[in-house]
Amino acid sequence: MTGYLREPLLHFILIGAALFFIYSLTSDSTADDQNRIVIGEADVDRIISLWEMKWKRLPTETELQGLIEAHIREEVLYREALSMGLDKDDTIVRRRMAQKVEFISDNIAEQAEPSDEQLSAYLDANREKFEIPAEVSFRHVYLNVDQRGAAIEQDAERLMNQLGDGDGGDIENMGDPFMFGNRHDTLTRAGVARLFGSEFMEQLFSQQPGQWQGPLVSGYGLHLVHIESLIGASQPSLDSVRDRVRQEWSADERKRFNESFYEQLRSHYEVVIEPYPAQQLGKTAISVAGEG
Amino acid sequence: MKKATITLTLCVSATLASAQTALSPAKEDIPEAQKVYSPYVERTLRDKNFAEGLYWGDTHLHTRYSTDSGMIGNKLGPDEAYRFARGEQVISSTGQPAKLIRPLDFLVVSDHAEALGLAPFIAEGNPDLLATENGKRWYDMVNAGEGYEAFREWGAYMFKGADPINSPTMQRTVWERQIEAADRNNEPGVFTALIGYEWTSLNTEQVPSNLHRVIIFKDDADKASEVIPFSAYDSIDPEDLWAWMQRYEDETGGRVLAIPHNGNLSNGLMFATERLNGKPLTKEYAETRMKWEPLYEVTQIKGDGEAHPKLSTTDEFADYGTWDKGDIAGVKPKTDDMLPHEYARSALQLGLQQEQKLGANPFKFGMIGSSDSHTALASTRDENYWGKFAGTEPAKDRYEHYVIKAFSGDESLSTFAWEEVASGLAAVWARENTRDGIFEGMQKKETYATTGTRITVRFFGGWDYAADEVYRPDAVQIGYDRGVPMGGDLPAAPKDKKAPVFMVGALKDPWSGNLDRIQIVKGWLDEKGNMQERIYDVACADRKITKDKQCDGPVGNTVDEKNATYLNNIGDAELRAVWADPDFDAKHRAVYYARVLEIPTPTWQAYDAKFYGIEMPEQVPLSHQERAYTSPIWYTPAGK
Repeated sequence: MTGYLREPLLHFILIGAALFFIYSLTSDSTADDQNRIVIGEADVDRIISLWEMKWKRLPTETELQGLIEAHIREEVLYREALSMGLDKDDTIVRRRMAQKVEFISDNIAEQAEPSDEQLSAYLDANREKFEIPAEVSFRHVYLNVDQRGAAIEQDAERLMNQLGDGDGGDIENMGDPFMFGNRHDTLTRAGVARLFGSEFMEQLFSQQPGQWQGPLVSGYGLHLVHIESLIGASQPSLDSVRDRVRQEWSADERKRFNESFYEQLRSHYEVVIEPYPAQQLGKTAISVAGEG
Repeated sequence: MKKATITLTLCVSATLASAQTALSPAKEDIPEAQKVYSPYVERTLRDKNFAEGLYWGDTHLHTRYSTDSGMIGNKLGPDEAYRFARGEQVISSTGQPAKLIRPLDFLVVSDHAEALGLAPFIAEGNPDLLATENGKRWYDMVNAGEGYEAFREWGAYMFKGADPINSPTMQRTVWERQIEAADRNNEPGVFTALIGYEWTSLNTEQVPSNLHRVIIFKDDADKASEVIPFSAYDSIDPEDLWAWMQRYEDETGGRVLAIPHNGNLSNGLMFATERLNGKPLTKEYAETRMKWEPLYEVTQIKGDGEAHPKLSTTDEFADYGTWDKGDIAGVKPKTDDMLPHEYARSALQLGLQQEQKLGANPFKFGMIGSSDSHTALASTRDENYWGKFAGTEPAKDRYEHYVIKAFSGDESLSTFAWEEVASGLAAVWARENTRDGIFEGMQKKETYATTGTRITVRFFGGWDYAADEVYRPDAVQIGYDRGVPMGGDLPAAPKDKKAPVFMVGALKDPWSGNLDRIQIVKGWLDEKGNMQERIYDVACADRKITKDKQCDGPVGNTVDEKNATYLNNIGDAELRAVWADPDFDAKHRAVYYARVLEIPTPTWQAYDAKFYGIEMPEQVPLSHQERAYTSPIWYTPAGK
């Protein structure tokens, strides 16, 4: 049943029929009325509300007269244009009409209100998009390879022994000074990679918390690290990310709907592309006169 | 909202501070920290307004909303620009997948105000655009396959001083889209999207220049939407732009600043010593300019503007990304007398001279770098260079394409893609990664420029930093407590101090070349009020400093140009120094900034040659030294 309701073409046909029906009710035009323009109460209401939207106040009587005149003028010219066939072969009119159909399609897509089941399923299918990223808090003792040279590995071992099983105590004065300090709190993978590079980040996230380990290698040298806490990535509950999930779901759904809608419309046409002579395609050199 | 806080060394935690060793700070050096019972409370220096976070961004990026981008092939809009900057993979205009090495922390999408949104509005057949004569004409041309010709017609209007579209409705619609995109992509603490645009004055066809400024808002859409961008069609004179900025602040209570760029293409007008209206500079002009323009974009794809080899004849690194053929449109050739008014180093000295004369310094700017890319892709690394325009995205022959096709028809004023530098980035020291934090960092000039890599640099000036203090764990705290950070003014000299002392530290980009050296560039006025400059090497990797204050020989070169590779077996990961000015004269105004150089690495042209299996012409540089330029610290004699 729901699949049936989500059928784009059916929606379109129903909406088309509805639009036609409404139009036939509101415009009681017959062949005799072709040269008759009636400005009804509904028209005036619409004119007033358009004005109000733009100017944030109601039009005066004089302004309204002017607006109605402008509306009549547009109607007269529009009907003349139609009878002269000016709507044919005009790129702007064609594009505008095509756009209107796209708007209808967009509107239908927007109507869709997802159920909790749909959102949960979407959340499950797109775990990496919504996950709460892993976070690490750690301290480290830095060894500068330029200053220590070949002795660096020996130094690392000596410092490791000194650090032992404890929490390190006064690590600020061990090893070499590091511009960003020895303590880093609640950094995500991206946050660690940003400061130390991605190789170091990968190594760090595979260490055990609660003890001194290393040395790990970064672009700067060696690091002895002590992870204080490592909280893995987790899935949020639907409630905590409902708005975001809904937004993403709607965007995906609209895209899917619009595409299948167009595909269905197109399938009603036989498209023939006649052979065309091979043309030499231009190569535009980029040149910019006075910009940048 | 989660915030990743980089806790700097200076946050001496209460439990750790008790341990005293030789290098630990003496108790009296450290101001009493506010006592907090819970040991787990995040310890920051926010109360003292110290900048503890270093944030990287691009303040100058164009999307298809810029006419010279969207009309010539760029299909990517602001949303794609933000996604790319945040580290997502996107498909470029030429259909190639593109991704950054690591995300940026902030971005300013700064599309040209002049006919903003022309390309997307043509694509949409926007009725407001089609209601205008030129809009309709260019729309028809694009639909007839003459988009490039339409773009050239628009370009010609840049010298006419008139808006060829002149549709306030269109401007309003497109500006609202821009600021909504910025608000939508702004995530406090994680990624900052600042609202901005570019004011694009070329001056006149008779005196062609480049007076461009990127305008940056501190505010959200609610305030920024109360105006539409002031463009070069409104006025070509920056003084009118500043008046508009003043009005914006007065009427909305918002905050805004402007960043000029490409003095190298301004034909002597960027730092001219007379106003655009021909009148002499005044104290009021200097104060107004500095109120609105705290920063200068010193390096970008269209050349590096720190120094020029003809002005700094003994600086072996001055000839880097030098673009000195003429103005930005290639109308008039460059003459030597224009150069001092185009480059940051000479402009800082001119500023001292003007200050002596007027009582206010009109060129007291801090520095940032940015890309000015027109591809919506803020990429500044040589091995990941996406070019200046969609037409010069990675391709075998891109290096030989035009970037500036001389408007005058004189080919000697044209510039080609191979002359581009894959530069630069803006580094901002700030309290936090938010619109407030980044904007305030910019206003304080606690910023620096790099040519595209992420070298970390701290720079402090004061009167009594001891030689070993730069190695102490609380060096940054000492830096702030006893002096000023980059962008500041030296405090008055204590009676017993003979010369200012600078504390500087640099850490390499973990994904780039090691460091070669740190230099301090000094500019000053001599006895006669003439401009002087000197460069002191203050920290050298693998070498000693000679008595001429230079590194003892070059750092070496490990670049294999043919394979576009290099080895990090020379240079240092980190350099630090404390340096007292040996030639200081308390009577004379002076300005100091730090320049940090990496070891040589391959250029984007070398990576291109390797990737596409081609030979570059001989004049194309295949290796270079990436660098950072800090905002200066100024010295003003007492009572002046």
